[in-house]
Amino acid sequence: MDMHQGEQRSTETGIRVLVVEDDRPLANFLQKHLQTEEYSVDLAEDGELGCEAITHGRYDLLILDLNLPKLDGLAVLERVRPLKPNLPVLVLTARSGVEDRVLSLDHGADDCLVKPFSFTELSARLRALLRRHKDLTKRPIRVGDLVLDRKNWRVERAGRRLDLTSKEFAVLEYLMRNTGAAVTREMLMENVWNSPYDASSNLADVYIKYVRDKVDGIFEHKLIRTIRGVGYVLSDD
Amino acid sequence: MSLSRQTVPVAEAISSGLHSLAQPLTVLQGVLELALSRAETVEEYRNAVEVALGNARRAIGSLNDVRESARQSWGPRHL
Repeated sequence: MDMHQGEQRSTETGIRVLVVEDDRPLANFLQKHLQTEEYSVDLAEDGELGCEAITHGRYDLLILDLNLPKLDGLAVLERVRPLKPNLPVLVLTARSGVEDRVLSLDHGADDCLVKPFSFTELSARLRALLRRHKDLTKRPIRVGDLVLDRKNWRVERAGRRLDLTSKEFAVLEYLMRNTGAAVTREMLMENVWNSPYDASSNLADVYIKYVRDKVDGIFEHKLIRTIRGVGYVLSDD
Repeated sequence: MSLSRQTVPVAEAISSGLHSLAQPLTVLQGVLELALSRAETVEEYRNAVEVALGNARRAIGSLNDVRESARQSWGPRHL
């Protein structure tokens, strides 16, 4: 997806990166050279398009300029972090002050590069972020007494093993990776089924019911709640 | 980027100009780094030089904006 009008979608070949940068020559430079490193790169030219892309897309990494039109980078981080708590984010900024770097890290960025920067360094920092993220995704996710262990394909609640199908596992994992955030049916369809949302289909609702029955069925404390008019949320609150 | 003479406070104009310098300098450095490490054909080197030149001109444009703002504020002899 390229949010610059009239451009074609990049080929999906591997790790998907979204670059949110309003300086067109810099955005094009990053896209061209990251693609030679086998990343699949999409562009967004302002904060609002960036938010939309992150919310509805399936990205492995975000490169985010701070000084953006319509919605600045810090505001983008505030909006998307709750939705994508595990998405690695590298912020680009022309502000060199320590306070500015601290601010972006405190808003949810995982790393920060000050412009002008070396492309070789950017590339190395992306690899480091992805390595760290890969390690994190292998670790079990815990919400309350619910544990999902992707490495061993195991789900337990209060020490009791739950038997889930592969699709139920994927739905539960997506809810758990977005703990505390509202997950819409659209998000489920795009991220679990890799399919555009069709309002006439209740597939997402059907699987949420299956997962709920297994995760919450015999337990008094319910972890999965419906948010009327929005979707679902999994939390231990 | 053009700077309004009438309305933009000088400090803000200078800050904005310096910010604008950062983008072309990033591309300039990047394209030259990659040319040295990856370019193999004359065509690839030529493309890199063209992109570098374009961005050097962008940087010069931004620098001139900063100079103009400073000149308006402090006078020519302070540059």
